[in-house]
Amino acid sequence: MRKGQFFIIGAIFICALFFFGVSPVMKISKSPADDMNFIADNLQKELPHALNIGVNSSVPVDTAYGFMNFSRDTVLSKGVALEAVWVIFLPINGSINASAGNLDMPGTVGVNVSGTYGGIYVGVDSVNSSVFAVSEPVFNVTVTVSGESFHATLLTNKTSIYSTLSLEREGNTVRKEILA
Amino acid sequence: MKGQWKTVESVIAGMVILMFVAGLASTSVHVPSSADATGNRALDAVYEKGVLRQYAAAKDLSSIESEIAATGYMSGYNHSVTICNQTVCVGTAPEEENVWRSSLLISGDEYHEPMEVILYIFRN
Repeated sequence: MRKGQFFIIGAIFICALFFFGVSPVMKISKSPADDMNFIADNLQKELPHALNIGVNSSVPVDTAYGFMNFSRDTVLSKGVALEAVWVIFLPINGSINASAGNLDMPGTVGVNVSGTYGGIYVGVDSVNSSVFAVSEPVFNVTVTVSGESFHATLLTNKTSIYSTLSLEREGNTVRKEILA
Repeated sequence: MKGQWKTVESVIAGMVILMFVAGLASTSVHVPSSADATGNRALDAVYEKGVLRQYAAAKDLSSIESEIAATGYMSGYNHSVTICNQTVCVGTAPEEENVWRSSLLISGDEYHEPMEVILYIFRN
């Protein structure tokens, strides 16, 4: 046998020793794709709670952003990328302050409040707001994000939130809309 | 010509080893999905009961573990819980082999304190 053939046989022998010698140990496992629906449902239930906490503490915009930012970092550790846009409608002195925020979805959020349109530009991971005059107990709102529109009728004296979010991992995508 | 054959054969040997190592590195862990789904259902049951939030805010691991045990989903498994906020975790992950992990995000109870409640499921 030639020396080179010994090299090949030796390589295969070493690999076989290693393969049979190492016991397969599964430590903390990667979650399967099914759990993205679970995460999306979790965010759908919990974002309104975050807003409530923020309203009670008089910092609704910061609280919502803080929770979404924490959520993004947490799900990223599971290999899931979270992108989101949200608009918080805050009643202020007979007007509505529409505060838009986003995670990795910069751009202009179109907000139409009872016929008055305002484009709110948000940079990456930032918030921005616009004020709309409202005189009725309820108002119609249309939020347009990336060409898709969402319509709702909201109470003028209540803080509300609309959000669209997207979870993505290895080609699997789950989208969710939240209104509260 | 002999030296060239030896070179080719050495290169082939090296490629066999490299391919084997690359194959080991890319091996994904195959886990029965049932345990993950079980963990999710258990956490969700405690959440829907309305007690997870206050226990998580109080970092009361034993109460959460008791509530999870009471769901009945842990039959045949052991389980433990850790709670992590943005900077620190309370509780420790189990050292056993074959551990399944589920988690739930909480924004806080009365105050803003985002945290992750992590449920570990394992067999003895």
